[in-house]
Amino acid sequence: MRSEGLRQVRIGAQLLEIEYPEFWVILLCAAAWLALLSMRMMHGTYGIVCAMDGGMAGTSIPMRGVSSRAVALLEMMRMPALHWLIMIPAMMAPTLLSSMRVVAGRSLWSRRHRAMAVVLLGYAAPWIVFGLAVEALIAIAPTGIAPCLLAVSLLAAAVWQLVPLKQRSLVYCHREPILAPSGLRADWACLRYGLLLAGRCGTSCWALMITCAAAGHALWITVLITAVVWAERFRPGLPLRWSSAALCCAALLAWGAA
Amino acid sequence: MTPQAADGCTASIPERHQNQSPALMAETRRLAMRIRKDVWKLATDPQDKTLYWYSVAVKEMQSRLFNNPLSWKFQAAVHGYDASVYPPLRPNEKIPTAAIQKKYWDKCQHASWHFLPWHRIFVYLFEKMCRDAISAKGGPSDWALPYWDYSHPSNAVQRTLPTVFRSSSLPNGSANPLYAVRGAGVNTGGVVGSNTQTENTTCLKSKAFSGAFPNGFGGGQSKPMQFSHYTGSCENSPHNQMHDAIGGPTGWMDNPDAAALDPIFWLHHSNIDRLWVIWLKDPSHTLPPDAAWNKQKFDFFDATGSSKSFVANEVLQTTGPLCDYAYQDTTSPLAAQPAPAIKGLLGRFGAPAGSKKGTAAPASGKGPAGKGALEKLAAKAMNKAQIVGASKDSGIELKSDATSVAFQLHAPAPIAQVGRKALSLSESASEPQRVYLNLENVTAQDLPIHTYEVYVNVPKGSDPGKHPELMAGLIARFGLVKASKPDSTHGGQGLNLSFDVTDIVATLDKSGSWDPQNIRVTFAPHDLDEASTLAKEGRAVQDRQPVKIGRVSVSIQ
Repeated sequence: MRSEGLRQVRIGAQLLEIEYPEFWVILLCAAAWLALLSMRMMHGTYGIVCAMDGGMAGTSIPMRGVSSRAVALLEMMRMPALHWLIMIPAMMAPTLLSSMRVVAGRSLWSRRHRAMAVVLLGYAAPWIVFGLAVEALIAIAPTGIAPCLLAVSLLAAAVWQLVPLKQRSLVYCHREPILAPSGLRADWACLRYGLLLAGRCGTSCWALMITCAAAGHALWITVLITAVVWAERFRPGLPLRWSSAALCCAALLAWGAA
Repeated sequence: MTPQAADGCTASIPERHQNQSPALMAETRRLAMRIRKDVWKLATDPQDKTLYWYSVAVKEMQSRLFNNPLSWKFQAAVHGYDASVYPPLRPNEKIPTAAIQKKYWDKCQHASWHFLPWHRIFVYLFEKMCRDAISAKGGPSDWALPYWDYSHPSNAVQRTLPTVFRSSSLPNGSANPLYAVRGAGVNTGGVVGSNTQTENTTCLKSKAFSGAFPNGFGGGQSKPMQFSHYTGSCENSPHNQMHDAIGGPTGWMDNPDAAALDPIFWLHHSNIDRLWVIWLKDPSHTLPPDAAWNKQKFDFFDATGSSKSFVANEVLQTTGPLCDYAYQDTTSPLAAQPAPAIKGLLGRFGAPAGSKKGTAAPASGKGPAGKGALEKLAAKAMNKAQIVGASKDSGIELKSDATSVAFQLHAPAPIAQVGRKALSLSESASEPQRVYLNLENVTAQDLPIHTYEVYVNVPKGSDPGKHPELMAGLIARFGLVKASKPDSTHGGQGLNLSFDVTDIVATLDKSGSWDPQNIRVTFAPHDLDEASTLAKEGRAVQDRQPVKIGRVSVSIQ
């Protein structure tokens, strides 16, 4: 009886994997959100708050061959960079589901998970580089501008929503891959497709993501930006001026709080 | 001929008939339906006035101004609008506001599962507008739009354009409202389209309504957009093919942004709608249960000129709740020839890894292993298609001579076995397998001068035209440029086409020449007559960008 139950569970899992090969991307997203919430509960806020609390001066740890300023920067960036790394799968993984499904459907059966993983790698790499650069810039920003950084970045994101290039980039997020069937050519094609997607999505969402970093990855702003990104992806008919207006309101709130 | 009404007639019955016998009730209900009739049967009946009244309605709609939603040009613009090819505005004529244009124009649904329901609503509303115009002119109250069934390989007359559409002027010297510029020979009584272009049996063999490689009868899943990515079998042939054949490279019919200006457009789509009715008569064919499909809303102006939303599930039958018509003939051309398929196809691709060929699934004796969701997933797994091979080089360019691409196939995964296990079915219960040739991301920046015939494994050095048994299908021009524009909602991805090549594989296998390690797909230009016609007229044909194919692949289901 028990073995029959186990058999059904095993077959059920196999069937789910056959029908929804992109299931692990959803799991990745869920795990990332759990991690974000856990970190929030354990560490509270940082980023601009950290800068406002005294900046680099209090965090420097001298190391041989490395300037104390660089060490301090690395130390300051540790948590924001970690948040950025987790934020990418949390916010962006669901927007990739349809692309992942297409990649799986266009790959040989035995290669479909590998193909999706390589696409994800290609997608994540530019976002990580971009995120580290943004976090570094925020970390070295003069403490005087920190209070208004969030409001300014929200306003910039609101303006970017209305730029035609943003709309065009959103359309290009739907591009389909042309994949070689096997071998290194297939891996390269997947990597190139991931990079292409990152380029399109980066052009579309760079301002929104900077806002998250500028807010020190505060939960409310992360949720707001996630809602905007997901709405754009899953409800393509929604006018971008609505999300632009919402971002403007958030900018006013942030300005008032600063 | 006795009209053959479609099943499931649900038209309202006049009160005076409600006490009649069931047989009489059924007859009354049938007669309450408007019957869309075969245009060539009407054309050969001197007593029939259906086409005369159609021309009256068309003339009336053509006389209305552009900003009137019931005008000819407005209705055509609902399908697609390109100012450069539309007739010029008349002196007192104004184009509708930008807001109206945005909401109602350029809304034709192609290359997706919305193709059939959207066009059914569109054509039905047009038919009602015609009815109202005909009634206002004193015509019959039971008028219905005819259909043009051009898929008769042996009946050449049936495949020519009905006579009343051909001449630019009427005997009294006035302009013929049913005339339009069309492809070479169409308006002079030539046979329209090759056998392959008019062929309608392949699409009727499609098992599923929707899908991706294969794309199903109705096209791939998509949000509503004018040109999405996955062209259904019915849309590819005969729909797209006949747009090409009727319009030629210069006529309205070959341009989605002008096609509905041609009065034959509506009879062509009436026939496509009829094919949907025929496909649905097969009890194994079902419509998607997805709300994203059957609850999708589309905005139109109705026959009273009022703005209204229509939902796809209102038109899943021609007999209600919205529509009230049936077709004169819905006999399936497949009736005499059941769809062939191949059993044990996996073996022809080499032994798949991990499969235990011939071993029966464990028989638990308890019936299906799961219920509900699990059963559905198992059924899906048993019908799951998988890619088994593809071309290595991306960006295959089609030229004015034959182009070939070769690749090998890989052993497929035995995914259907999992479904069979879940349902505790034996190996012998497996469905016969089918093979599909897929053309991924077909694009063209300029209207191609040719369509292309697609062949599988034509012997090297041999003329593909001499091997009709190896022809998988045709790449149509219709909509290709529009689907390839990078700034449009579809992102310029082009079209994904899928051809059922099971018969070809069976033919090759029978002759001993099926080799999964050596698949060669050849693209040969079609419609060379039109190319030479254009060249004679001095039109630029050399500078046009070639048709490109992202990838050629093979899938099995």
